Amino acid sequence: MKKYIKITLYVIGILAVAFVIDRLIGMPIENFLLPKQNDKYMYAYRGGKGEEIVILGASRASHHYIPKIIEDSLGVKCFNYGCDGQNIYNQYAVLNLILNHTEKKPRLVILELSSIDILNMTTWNTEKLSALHSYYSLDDSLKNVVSLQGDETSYALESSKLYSFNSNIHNLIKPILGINNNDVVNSGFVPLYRKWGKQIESKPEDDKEIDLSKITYLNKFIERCKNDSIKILFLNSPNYVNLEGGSKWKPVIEKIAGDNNITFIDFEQDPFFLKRPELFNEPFHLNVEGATLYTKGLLPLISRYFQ
Amino acid sequence: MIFNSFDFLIFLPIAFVLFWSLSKLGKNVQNIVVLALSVFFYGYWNWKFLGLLLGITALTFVTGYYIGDENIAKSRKKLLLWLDLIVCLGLLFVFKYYNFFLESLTDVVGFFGANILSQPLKIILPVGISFYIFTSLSYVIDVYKGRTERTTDWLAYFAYVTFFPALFSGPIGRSTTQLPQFFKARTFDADNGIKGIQWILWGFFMKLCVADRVGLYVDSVFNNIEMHNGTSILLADIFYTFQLYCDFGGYSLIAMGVGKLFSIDLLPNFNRPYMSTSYTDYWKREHMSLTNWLMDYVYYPMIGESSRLAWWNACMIITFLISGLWHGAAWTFVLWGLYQGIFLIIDTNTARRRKKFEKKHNLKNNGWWKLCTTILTYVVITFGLIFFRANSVHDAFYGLGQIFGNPGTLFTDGATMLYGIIGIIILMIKDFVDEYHPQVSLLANKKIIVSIISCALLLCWIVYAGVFGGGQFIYFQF
Repeated sequence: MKKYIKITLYVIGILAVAFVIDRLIGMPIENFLLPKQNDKYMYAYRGGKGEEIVILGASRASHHYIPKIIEDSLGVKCFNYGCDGQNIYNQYAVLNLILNHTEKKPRLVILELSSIDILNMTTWNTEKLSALHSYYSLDDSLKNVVSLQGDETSYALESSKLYSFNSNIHNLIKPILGINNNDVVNSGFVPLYRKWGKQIESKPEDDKEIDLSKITYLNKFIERCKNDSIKILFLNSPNYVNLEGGSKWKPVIEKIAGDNNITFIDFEQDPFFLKRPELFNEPFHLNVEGATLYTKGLLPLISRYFQ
Repeated sequence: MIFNSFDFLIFLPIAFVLFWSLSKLGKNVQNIVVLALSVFFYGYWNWKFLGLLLGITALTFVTGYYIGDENIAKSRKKLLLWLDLIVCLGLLFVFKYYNFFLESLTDVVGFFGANILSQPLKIILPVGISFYIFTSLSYVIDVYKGRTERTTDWLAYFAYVTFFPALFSGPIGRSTTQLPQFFKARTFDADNGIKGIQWILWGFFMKLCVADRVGLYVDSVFNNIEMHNGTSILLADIFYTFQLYCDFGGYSLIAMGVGKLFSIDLLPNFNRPYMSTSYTDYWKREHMSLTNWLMDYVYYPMIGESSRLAWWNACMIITFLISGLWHGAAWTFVLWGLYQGIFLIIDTNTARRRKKFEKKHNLKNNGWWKLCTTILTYVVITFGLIFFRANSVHDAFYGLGQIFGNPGTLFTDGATMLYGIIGIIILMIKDFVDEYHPQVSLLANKKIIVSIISCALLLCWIVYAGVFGGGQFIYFQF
């Protein structure tokens, strides 16, 4: 029996010391470093600055919509919450984070949609939600979305502080070292500068299956906006690829938009942009010049929501 | 079930308690429990392939039984051995190589303007098939060669072949050293168990903090190789050397650690390969269970009584071509095997002259000389692994061309590089200390409190810097 006690005590000893180290390092990070963080999630958590227009989406949102142009033309505050590589799960979490913590609710939410928000992709599903782990303790709505990654993840996040800050402490210490986080300058717009010089290529439309879980979260997104009397605009911005074959996901969006009286405008195959490679950073992202033209082009449409 | 899953974290303690609480009932009960756990472990991945695993185990047991029977004529034993080899290797061929050969044949025939009507098989590769087939074949061959006696204890044999820690990716078992452990009742030894826990922890560090971390960079470069310049491809290749070592070395260490918890000593598979000072030395330290298997059952039997150097060299090339094909059904692996064979020939054929040179200049214990030979060996390994990792032969040569002809600005990926490099530094410090100062150890320190604190710190680092959900072990595909 002694030998079993010995190994049990050894394991318990490791776990106990690890728990103490976890708390000794994790608690100061949570209470001291995290609040000093200046990225889009913390900006939302702090309630923003009373923006009336918020833009949500993945990288195609963060690189394509310039809040300053909208603010200067329409005289309304705007912020771009686009996050690289994220899909509707993250957009729903960020929307909740904004609405749960702001005093002045936005009047219009622009949601940039693409296939990763609707289809069941191999690498664009719930795994990207790991970006929310560091903020897990901030808001219950984040916990609910992160739970999509599985009970194990939620359990690990509840049990370990270090796990929530997995590979992220080097980012969290940047503000105290005086290194600026470029995430929120330019009101969240992240400019790209390269000019694409290659010929346009053809690519078949994604033929993955519709992801019902993503549809559920898109509906939850709409529901949350409706409950807070916020108007929604669905957009799909230009790219520089000839898409072949029918899209599986766009009819779904059109149906959902129609059912909820939401405008959905698809600029993905806009002929103007398809002839202008110099407006792109690479086939799927506009450069700053392209983003400027695109945002300016949207102004009449956005202004309708403020008449 | 894979080691780096939550399910395994639950499975392992339950298996441990179940096994040792029933262990007093004797060897047969122990083997029944091991077999049941292994069946569950494998079936959890895909129960449909359990029949194949148990079928091959049964076949080799029966064949070994008859081959080991003294009353059976030698010619009949030979026939049985060949039948066994044909069935086992035939199954391996169907599952692993059929489509590859069909594709290659179609290309060759297509070159001459003809067509092949046969369609590729739509089957998945049963995980671990290469490992358990090699494990069971070694038993049959050993019985035939008289290196081991046939066993009548089918329970022990089934528990040995299907032993769950080694089932998916080895180490490939040997009937001479591993099988006898299942013939007697195991008793629990706390110090052995503690050593097992330390190995498991270090294995997880290797897998989650090094392999899966640098793997993010490696995948992003090698999966879009035409978008990257030579500098980035070179770094990805260097990272890949660590990814491969830590992925498989980590798996092997976890398997050995779990084995220790059940008082079974699995064969060591890696012995700090990047501390090698020559290519021969490298292959004595890298994937040792496979290399030894191929040496014992392919290379030496092929050499036979011959003393011709040319034939020895040819056998070396053939052995490593087989090793390449064992790793995967693709021409990249064949080229990798050829590369290994060529450099091993160069190494072995110049060994005598190098020894003379070392003796003449008194370099044997010279630290700088060791460093130089270690680096040179590592460089040769690194370039060879381009063929192992590249998605196609074209990509491999394209990558080599870029490395030598088109350097440029390094593609960087903040967290991946930062934590990957920290992981590699920790790994290499430990390997260096284990190699040259083996008496120094933190994890296995004689003072239990030092050991506990070291293990706890390692666990915290794994939790903080590990890549979770990073996927399967690379060798599962082999």
